[in-house]
Amino acid sequence: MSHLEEAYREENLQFKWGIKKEVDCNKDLQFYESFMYKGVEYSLYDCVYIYHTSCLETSIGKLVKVYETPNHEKEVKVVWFLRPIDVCNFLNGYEPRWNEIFLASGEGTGLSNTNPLVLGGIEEVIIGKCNVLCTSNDWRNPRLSGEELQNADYIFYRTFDVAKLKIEESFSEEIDGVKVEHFFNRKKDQEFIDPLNSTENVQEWTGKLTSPKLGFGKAVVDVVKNNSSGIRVNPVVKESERAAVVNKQGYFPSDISMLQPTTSIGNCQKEERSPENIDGVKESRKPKVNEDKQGCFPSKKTTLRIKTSGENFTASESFSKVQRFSDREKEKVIVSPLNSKANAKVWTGKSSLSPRLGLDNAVGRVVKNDNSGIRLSPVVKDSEKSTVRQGHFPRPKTSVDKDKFGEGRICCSQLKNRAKVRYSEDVIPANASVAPLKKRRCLHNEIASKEHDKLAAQFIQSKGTKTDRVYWKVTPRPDSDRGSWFTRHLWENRLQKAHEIGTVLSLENLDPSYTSSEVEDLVWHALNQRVEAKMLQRSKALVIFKSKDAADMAIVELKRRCLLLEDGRPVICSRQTLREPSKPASFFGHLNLDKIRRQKQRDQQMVKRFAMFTKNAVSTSHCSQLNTIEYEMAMEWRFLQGKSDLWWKALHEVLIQMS
Amino acid sequence: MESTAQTESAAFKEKVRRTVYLDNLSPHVTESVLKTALNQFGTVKSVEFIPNYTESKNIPLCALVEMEHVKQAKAVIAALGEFPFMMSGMPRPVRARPAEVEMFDDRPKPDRIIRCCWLNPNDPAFEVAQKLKQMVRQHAAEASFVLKNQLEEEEKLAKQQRDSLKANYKKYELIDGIIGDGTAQRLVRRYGMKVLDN
Repeated sequence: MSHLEEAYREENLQFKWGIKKEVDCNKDLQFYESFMYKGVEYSLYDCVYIYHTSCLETSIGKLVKVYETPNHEKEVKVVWFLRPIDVCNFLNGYEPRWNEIFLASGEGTGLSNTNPLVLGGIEEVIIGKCNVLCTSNDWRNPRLSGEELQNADYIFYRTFDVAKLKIEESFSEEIDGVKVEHFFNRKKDQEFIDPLNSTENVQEWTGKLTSPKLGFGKAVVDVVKNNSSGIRVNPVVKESERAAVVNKQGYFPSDISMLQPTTSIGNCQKEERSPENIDGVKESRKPKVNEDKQGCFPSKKTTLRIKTSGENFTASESFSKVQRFSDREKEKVIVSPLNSKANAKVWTGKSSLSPRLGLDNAVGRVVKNDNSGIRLSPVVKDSEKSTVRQGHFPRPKTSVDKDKFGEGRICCSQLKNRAKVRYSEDVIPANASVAPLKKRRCLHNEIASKEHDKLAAQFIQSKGTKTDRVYWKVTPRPDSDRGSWFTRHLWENRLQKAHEIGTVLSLENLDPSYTSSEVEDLVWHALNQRVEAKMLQRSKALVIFKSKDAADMAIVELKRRCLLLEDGRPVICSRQTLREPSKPASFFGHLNLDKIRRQKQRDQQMVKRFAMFTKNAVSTSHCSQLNTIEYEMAMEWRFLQGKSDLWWKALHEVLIQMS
Repeated sequence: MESTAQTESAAFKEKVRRTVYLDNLSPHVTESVLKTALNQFGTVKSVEFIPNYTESKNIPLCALVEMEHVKQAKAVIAALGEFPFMMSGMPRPVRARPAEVEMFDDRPKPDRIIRCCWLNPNDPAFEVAQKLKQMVRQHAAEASFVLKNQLEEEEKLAKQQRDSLKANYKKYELIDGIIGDGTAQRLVRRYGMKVLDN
């Protein structure tokens, strides 16, 4: 949240152009290949999160053009990725993976947008990079390793055709005039060039680590205390920390005892490890049993944070810095439970592994972290005593970047907190595919609710009503007369469109005498949303919201609180599904007598009593005459209609009594 | 300004009185069908079908037909009340009723002020409101159930009528058959009956 608000508020955005590209002579556009924005360097074809004002969910897009107009307006063109929820009406039973998104393709609205980059009135804002990878089997698409996949925020391998409204697996040559190669993963060598990535290290490093053995054998362990007070943090690890860095090679049980004194025993003894934990640990070291549900390689990237202290620093200098991982946005912290004697004992006692094995393969906590910009950052506390067991890296190029700590917020295990120390149980799954989703969801919820509060607060302020239950007048909203004839003409079309994107709600239990425009005013005043409403019969109205988020918010808001009309009716809001216009309506009670008609041609005389039926029935309207069978049947219908009138009346009377 | 609003609303009221609400219409009924059907009672000024956006079930079409004069509208309602009126098919008759203000989509905004308020969950009335909400839902469910039953009834009746019509038709065919092939004549002779026809 803090991030969002920050992004929202900060007016003095630090912006700098990067590498220049060609100039478009026709339009005098100066294209660029990269730019700096709020300390982050974005390059062409990066995927970014884009925040829209008043939307809860960020959008994800790929920068396909970055340019400056002659008027010095900085603009980016973005091809969108669609979240499953955006296209939920067109999934046709297809169940997307939790982190799957769809690349927009085809032609039409929803494919791409041109956004101003640095904004006066902020409508849409780039708030960060997003790691989107393509898992398509298309031959043009460079393949990925399991780890890279694991580090992705999102993956895609299908496109969504915005014209056909269909999910497709094939990729066309060009998407919105951009070669499709740019949408696939970057080629490796390309990636090396990326200045931001500090990739060179990392690539090699991860390369070496892909072997599970190596990866785990050289696990770096970091035990950090986490103070989850949730305030935005400057997680720079302070000097006063005492850490022991242990080189794993030649690490024998005996070493433990040697080392223990340097760790805080007080802390450690509080820790207990249950047998399951050990199992978990055992498992996690075996590649095949890796809990990672994505089926990625077990060789988790052992990204580490090494907290070091001036005093107690025992390892070589190269460790004195923090190792950041290839993916700047994700960090996995492996925390080992190894820091306590008690621990070690329990562990060795309960597991059949030899102490050495156990220690070697200890994988503590693996925490996935990403900075989509809406995370609460944990505070990394100072003066924390931690044991850092540093693996022996093939290439200890562990360059450190303390600053980056600020961005990659790290969830740390809190040693003292036993709940959190249940490593294997809630830790390994944290790496598995399911957990991050949940995390994301609950974060979104959090944001949503905050957003609502904010809105409500604004709203109340604007109304000048601070107390509960103050009726306010619903006055016509500004420029409510705008385009009324236009509205009527296209209403049906727009209703269909809105239905497709899920912005149609129904409001029930309104006063039946309300007009559509009064409903619009009502929503404008109550929810601060400009909508289009249409009153239907029986105290119900259809309402089209501007966006899906607005509609969602309206539902939540009307559920959480209660909009009370003057006569005490509470308004009910629900999502409305419309009937399909294409579906032909069936109608009972009209009989088709083709046969008789044919008969009639053969023998006028005999079917004279059917004359009424056969007299070109479809186009003629007439009153029935008494001597026809038609009349008798019509009377039966009359009878039924009368009955139905009665039962409706009865029902409504009951309802009136009840209410 | 006020006078225009007033005349507007007066004109609208007049329009409502001139208008007939028709239901039990077949979905095949179009504006032109309605116009030709009702022209015998007077001039049809406008026809507006009331669309069914939400009901998933198939409810018959309804329409508002504006006649030129109030008298004509009354005549339509009277005639359609007296005789079953067939439109685009049979034998299900069309039904006519005087229109009501709420049926009109484009009714002018009444001169009034709506008031409303938010109830917060901590308000004691919140519970009541929740209950009311639930009740409204229940009512909607009940109404939908009644509608479903009604549609079933209608279907049943239609089926029954189809069957009886078929049976009737068969009878006529049989009679037609025996007259055609002379069996009737022979029977008449055999039993010495006197037949007035022929």
